[in-house]
Amino acid sequence: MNREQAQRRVDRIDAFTAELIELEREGVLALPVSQRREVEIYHSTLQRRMAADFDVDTSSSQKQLSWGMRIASFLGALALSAAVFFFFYRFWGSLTTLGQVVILVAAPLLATLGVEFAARRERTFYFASLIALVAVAAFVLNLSMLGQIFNIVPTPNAFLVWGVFTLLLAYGYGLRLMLVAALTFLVGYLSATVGTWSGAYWLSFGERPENFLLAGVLMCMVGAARLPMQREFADIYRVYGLLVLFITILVLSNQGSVSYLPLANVTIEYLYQTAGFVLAGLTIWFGIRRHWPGVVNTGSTFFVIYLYTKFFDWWWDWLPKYLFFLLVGLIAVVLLLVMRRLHKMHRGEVTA
Amino acid sequence: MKREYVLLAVLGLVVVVNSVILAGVAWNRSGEPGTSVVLTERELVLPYSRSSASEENSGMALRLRHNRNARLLEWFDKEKLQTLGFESREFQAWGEKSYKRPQTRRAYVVLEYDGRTWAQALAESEGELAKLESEPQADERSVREQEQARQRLEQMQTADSRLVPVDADRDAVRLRSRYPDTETHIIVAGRVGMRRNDDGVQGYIRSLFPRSVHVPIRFHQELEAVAAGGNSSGIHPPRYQVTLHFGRRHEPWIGAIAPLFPESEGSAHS
Repeated sequence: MNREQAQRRVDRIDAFTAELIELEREGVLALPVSQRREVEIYHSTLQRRMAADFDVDTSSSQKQLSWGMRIASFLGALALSAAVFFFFYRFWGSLTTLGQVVILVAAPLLATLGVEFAARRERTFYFASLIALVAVAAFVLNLSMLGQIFNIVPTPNAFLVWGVFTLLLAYGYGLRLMLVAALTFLVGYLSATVGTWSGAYWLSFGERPENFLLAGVLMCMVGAARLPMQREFADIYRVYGLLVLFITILVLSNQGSVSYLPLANVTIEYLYQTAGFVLAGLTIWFGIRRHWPGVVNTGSTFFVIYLYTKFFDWWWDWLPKYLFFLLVGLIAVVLLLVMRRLHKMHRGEVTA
Repeated sequence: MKREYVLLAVLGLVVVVNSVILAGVAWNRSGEPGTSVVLTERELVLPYSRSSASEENSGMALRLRHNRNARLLEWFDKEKLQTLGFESREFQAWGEKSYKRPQTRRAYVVLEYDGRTWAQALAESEGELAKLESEPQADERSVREQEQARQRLEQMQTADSRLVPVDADRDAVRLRSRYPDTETHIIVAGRVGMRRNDDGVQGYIRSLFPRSVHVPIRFHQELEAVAAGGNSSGIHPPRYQVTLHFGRRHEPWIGAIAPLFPESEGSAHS
C-alpha cells in the first residue's frame, strides 16, 4: 500500500462513519452495540496505524493544512530554484573554467542526494518535493551553462535528458509536480524531433503546432492504458495529454497558415474546428464511461471554448456588444438546462 | 520502483551526461584547431551597456556578428535554398490560399573574413559616394544623400563586421572542400530562412551558432579595461582583437585577447 491508497482508505472510513450515524439517526439501520464497538475500535486502530505509517490526514483541518503545505512547498521550491540560477549567474564570472564545471556538475548530484535525505526524514515528502525541484533547476543550469561556457551548438537532446532525470524523480518518490515537469520536457523533445522530420531546424518546432500532436496522443494513451501506476499519475497523463491536443487544435482552427497540410488555409481551419468539437464530445463521453472527472472537465471546458470562439467569429463584428454577450449568456443557460436534463436521465438509469 | 535503484539511476545519468558533454568538448578542441582567425571588436562585440540585468551576470561573452547587408546575399537564391532543403511549395506568395510561413533550416555557413566579397562591397560604396560627390548639389535632398553615403562608407570602413556569408550547405565537409583556406573562411553552424523580395525569394542567415562566445576569466581584465573606457555605441574603430579557434565540431573558443590602438588596427588582420 502507498500513501495515496492509505489516504483513500482513511477518507472512506470517515465517510462510512458519517453515513452510519445518519442512518442510525433516521432509524434505517441500528448496529448492535457490540458490533458497532468492534467496528469503531477496528477503524480507530487502522487510522492510527495509517497515520503513523503514511502520515495521512485524518481530519478536515489536517487536510486544509496539507494544502497549505503543498502551496508553501511549491512556492518555496520555485523561489529556491530561482535563487540557484541567479546565485550562479552572479558569481560564475569570477571562477575559473574548472571551478565552474565542478560546481555545475556537483549541484544536481548534491541536490539529488538531498532529495533522498529529505525523503528518509519526512514521510509526506513535502521537503523532498521542494528539493527535487531545486535538483531539476540545478540540472537544467548544469547543461545550459556548460553549453554557454564551451560554446556548444544547442540540440533538443537536452530536453530528453532533463525529462528522463525528472521522470525518475517523479516515479522514484511519487512526486506529481516532477511528473508534470518531466512531461513538459518530454513534450518539448518529442515535438522538436517531430519538427525535424519535415527538414526544419529543431528550434522552429513551435512554428508548426502539429508537431505537438504526437506527444499529446502518447500521453493520453499512457493515461488510458491500465498500467500499474499511481492513480493521480494516470490523471496527470490524461489531462496533460488532452490539454496539449486541445490547445494545438484551438491554434490550428484559427490559423491554418501554420499547418503542414497542403490545403487552403480556410479549409484547414474548418477541418480543425470540426475535429475540435468531435474530440471534445468524445472526450466527455469517454470520461463519463470511465469515471474520469478530470477528463470530463477538460473536454467540457474546451467544448465551451471552441463554441465561444465560433460565436466570436460569427457575431462579434456585426452584433452590438451587449447583444453578443447576452446571446452567449443565454446559450450558456440553455446548455446548463440540457446538461441538467441529461444529469437527471443518467441518475434515473443508475437508480433503475 | 525501488528508490535505491532510482537514486543510483539519477546520479548515474548526471555523471554520464556530463562526461559525454565534456568528452565532446575535448574532442572538439583536440589536435590543431581547424580554423584560427584574428577578429576584432567589429566581429566580436561586447554587450552594449552595463544594465542591472548584466550586473546580475558576472560572466562575459562576445557576440559573434556577421554582416547582414542583404546586397551581399545575392548567392542565396532559390536554387541554393532548394539545396538546403527548402521545398518549392514554400516559395508561394503571401496571400495565396495555401500559403505557409516558411520554416528555418539548419545549415553550415561559410563566413569570409575581410576577403574579396568585402573588398568589392567597399569599392561599390566608395564608387557610390564618388558618383554623388561628382554631381552638382542641386537641392537639400542631394546634400542629404551625399551625407548618408559618406556615413555609410565611414561605417563600413571603421565599424561594420567584415565577416560576410558567402555560401551555405548541409554538409560541412563539402563546404570546406570548396573553401579550403582556413585563415579567411570560417565554417559555422547556423539557422537559415527565406523571405520574399522584389525579385522573388532570397535566403538569409537567421542566426549563427553559437551566437556569442564565452570569455574565460583569464581574459576579463583586457576587456574590462576596454569597457571602462566608455560604451561601445556609435562609429568608432575597434578597441581589441581576439584570436578565435574553431574545432572539429565547428565550435569556437578564445585563444587570446589583446587591446588595439587606433594606429595598429590596420595590422590586426594582415
